[in-house]
Amino acid sequence: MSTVATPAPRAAPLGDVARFAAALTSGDRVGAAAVLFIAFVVLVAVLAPVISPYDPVHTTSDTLAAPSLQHPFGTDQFGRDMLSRVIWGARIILLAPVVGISISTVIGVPLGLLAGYSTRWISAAIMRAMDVMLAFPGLLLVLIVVTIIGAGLVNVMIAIGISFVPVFARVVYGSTLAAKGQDYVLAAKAVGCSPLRIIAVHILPNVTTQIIVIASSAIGWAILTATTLNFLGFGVKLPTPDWGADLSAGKDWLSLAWWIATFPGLAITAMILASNYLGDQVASVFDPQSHWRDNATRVGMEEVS
Amino acid sequence: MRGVSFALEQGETLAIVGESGCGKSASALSLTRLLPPTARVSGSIRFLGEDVLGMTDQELREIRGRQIAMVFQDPMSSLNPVRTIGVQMEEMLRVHLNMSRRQARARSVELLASVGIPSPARQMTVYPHQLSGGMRQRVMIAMALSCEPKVVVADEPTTALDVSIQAQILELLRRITEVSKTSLLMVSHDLSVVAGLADRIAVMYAGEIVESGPTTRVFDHPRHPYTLGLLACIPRLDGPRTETLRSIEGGLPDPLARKSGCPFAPRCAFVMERCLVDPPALEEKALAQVAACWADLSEVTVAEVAAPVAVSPSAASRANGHVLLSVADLKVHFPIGTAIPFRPRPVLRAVDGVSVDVPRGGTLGIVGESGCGKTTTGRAVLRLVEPTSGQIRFDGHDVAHIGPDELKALRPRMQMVFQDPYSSLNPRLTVADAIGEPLVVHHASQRGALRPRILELLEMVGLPARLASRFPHQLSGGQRQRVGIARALALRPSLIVADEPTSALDVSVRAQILNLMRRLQDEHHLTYVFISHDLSIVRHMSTKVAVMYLGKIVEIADRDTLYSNPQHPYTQALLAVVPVPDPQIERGRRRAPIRGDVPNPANPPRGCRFNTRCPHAFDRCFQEEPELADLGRGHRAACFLAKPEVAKDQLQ
Repeated sequence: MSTVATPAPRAAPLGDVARFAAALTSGDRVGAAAVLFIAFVVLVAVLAPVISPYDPVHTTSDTLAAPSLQHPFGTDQFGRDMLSRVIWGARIILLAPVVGISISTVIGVPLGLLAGYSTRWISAAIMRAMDVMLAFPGLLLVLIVVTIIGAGLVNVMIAIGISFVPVFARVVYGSTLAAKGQDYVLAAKAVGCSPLRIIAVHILPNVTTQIIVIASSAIGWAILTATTLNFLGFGVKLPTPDWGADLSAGKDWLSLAWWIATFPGLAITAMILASNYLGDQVASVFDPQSHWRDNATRVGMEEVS
Repeated sequence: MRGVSFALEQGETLAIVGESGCGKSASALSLTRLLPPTARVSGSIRFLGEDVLGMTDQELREIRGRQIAMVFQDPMSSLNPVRTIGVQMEEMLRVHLNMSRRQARARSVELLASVGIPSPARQMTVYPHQLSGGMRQRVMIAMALSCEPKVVVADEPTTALDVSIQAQILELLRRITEVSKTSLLMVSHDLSVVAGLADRIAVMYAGEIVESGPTTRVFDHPRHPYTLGLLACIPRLDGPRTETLRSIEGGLPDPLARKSGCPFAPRCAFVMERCLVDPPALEEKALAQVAACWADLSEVTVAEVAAPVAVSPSAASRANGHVLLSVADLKVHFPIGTAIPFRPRPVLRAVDGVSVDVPRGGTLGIVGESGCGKTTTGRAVLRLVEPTSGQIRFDGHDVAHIGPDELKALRPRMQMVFQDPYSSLNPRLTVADAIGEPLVVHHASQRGALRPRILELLEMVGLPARLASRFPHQLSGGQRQRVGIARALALRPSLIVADEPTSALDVSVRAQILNLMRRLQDEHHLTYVFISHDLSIVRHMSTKVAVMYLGKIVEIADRDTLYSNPQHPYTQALLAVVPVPDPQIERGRRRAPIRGDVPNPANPPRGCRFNTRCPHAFDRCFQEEPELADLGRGHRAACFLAKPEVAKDQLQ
């Protein structure tokens, strides 16, 4: 038995994509299904021009047709094929949250690093500002931002990005504080590294795990927010195919043509469920707790062997 | 762990000794089947004739705590932090012995008193975090004893404690086993610690017992090369000082790899061809002493093996009179608590007026217990913490007051080696990146010259070049510490502050690192500030020694003067409590000379800071603080009773 604490094995280097993918699709079966579903949606979005049977914005005289072999998801009040609209809608549903979360990462991570590494005053100023933003319910914050900067897909992305900044800043702040207390940071200082180098070389690589976990668990919420905004008409404008906007348009025809709202609605539900599970799955791959579990079993085995 | 057998008789103390990962804790835990469920345990464990492995959970619970009690290394994590000491003690008694609340309370107070806890009735109402580490360990021992168990299993009970507290706990354990005839199974990595306590010793290596026998026999005539090596590689306070330590080369074997032959063969000095293919079994080498070795060590003694190989020019002879580092009245205060307007903020005086000169080429050893300010002193010297006041002159530069650019220019000349080789290396950087970083930061190497320089540094610290692309978690503790040393050497410094560089390492690796540091000092004309809590290691490494207590130097002298003629009662006490790997000496000690705990550094006692624990304290010590008075020949001590060196010379 060790007299010195056994170090937790570090997460695999991030470049190791294949091993990461293998870890993501192993273990929990629901989580693995969620990862595969998201991969499927990504594929559909990329191949939309190839696989969609019709032009999603082309109106025809065949309006409000029920699902059939010719139109598996039916057509809407302008005779547009719903299957094609759902396929093309996948692009928006992926684009908005991914860009939004990227914006929050780019702003939130440096803020967190700065707050974690700098003096008390700068750190207090940044973190109190983040607390004020966190005090607003997320959706309200997004609506405020959209109201200020106006509607439109780009603005929805910016709004989502801003609303997630405090979450990233908080998490990175905490991890930075922890990393800053490590001897290797002191060692870097003793060697004569500049603060910028210490942050970039010694702290940032040691907090990337937490950033990835946060980003992947925020995706689900971002998808929900983006769809909500599109549903409310703040985001994309019809006839651009989008699940939220189609759901909104279809709700007026629910008694006559249930399929217009139902298929985009199902797609949204599945997507959000899957992305929430994706967040959990990524978190469990990186979670020190799960490593601790592996490590404990391994140490146990060492001792009897 | 495989094929481990041992027997513990009533009232006997057995010590299981070994390095990390050798399976000593697992052996102890398996006694009460406390191992994680993934462990496969086979064989038989009999307690009073009954088979523990065949017991039901119900029967096991009856034995755990009641018959076999455990004391762990870290008392903080074994006590429930949200319940008072009293509640936790009473619970044991009420569950196991069906005592009433009143009875349990009275018995608990009695038990706390018996383990030497002052005002036990009052301590019943405190929470574990309010007690010091030594006190917590006493509480754990009291709890273990509460049901009058037949066997106490103590897993590294003193490893987390300071030397002076360690001596108190060892004395307590010895007294308990004598008085109550309890059997004690003690697990430790340190042979010196168990020397005075154990009746018999079992030495484990790589999951096997390699030697076992009566304590005196094992210490006097070890029959396994590993035991021999362990005894020879400990620098001893009671023996002559040697320039180079014997070390056991190599590192511990990977427990996951299966090898044929004797597991110790790759590191053994007595290795024969047979050892590589044929694993030796335990065989009787002398009366009641067994060892698993093909070689016959009956003619070999520890002293012979420990004798110096070659006498290199000692650092002391080269340490010329020129002072490289001079610290004057250094103070480092940290604000604590909350600031209240118009009132001075309370401060922790981590370092409170330290003055010391370090000659070029020499080694200043700083010794002291935790919280004495030795680490802060070392860091302040390199300005890794900002000094509150005082002067630090390094080769003519005023380190305490220079600007950031000048400081950066000075950095290459003063470097640091850290205590914990696990946290001092960035887990995301390869060995080459870690060693190369100082060179990159200071543009010290041309692009093409960087790689060769890194390889040269690796070779200097005895690491193979193939490790360059490894990450820290792929290295052993000793290898990591070598990387830390290489990083410190990269810029060819003249001063290295080494903060407990070996205390996180295994005993057999410790000697390798100390020898490496000595060799590098000779080769590169380094000056060291060597910080340690271990007096025997400091004696081995230093030319000049400063003893610190609560932020101040209480005694300072050149090495031989300090160790042969300590004047401050704290130094004397520290020297008296350092465990020596010799059962005769250890048994002869009866009383731990320093009572009590180190006072809170935020609120040191008035007068002499040592007055709460000093056996010689008198009126004056409580009113005024003694100055660090010159006793002649560079020997200075902060005690009213210190006798001048000169007087002693005249007597002779």
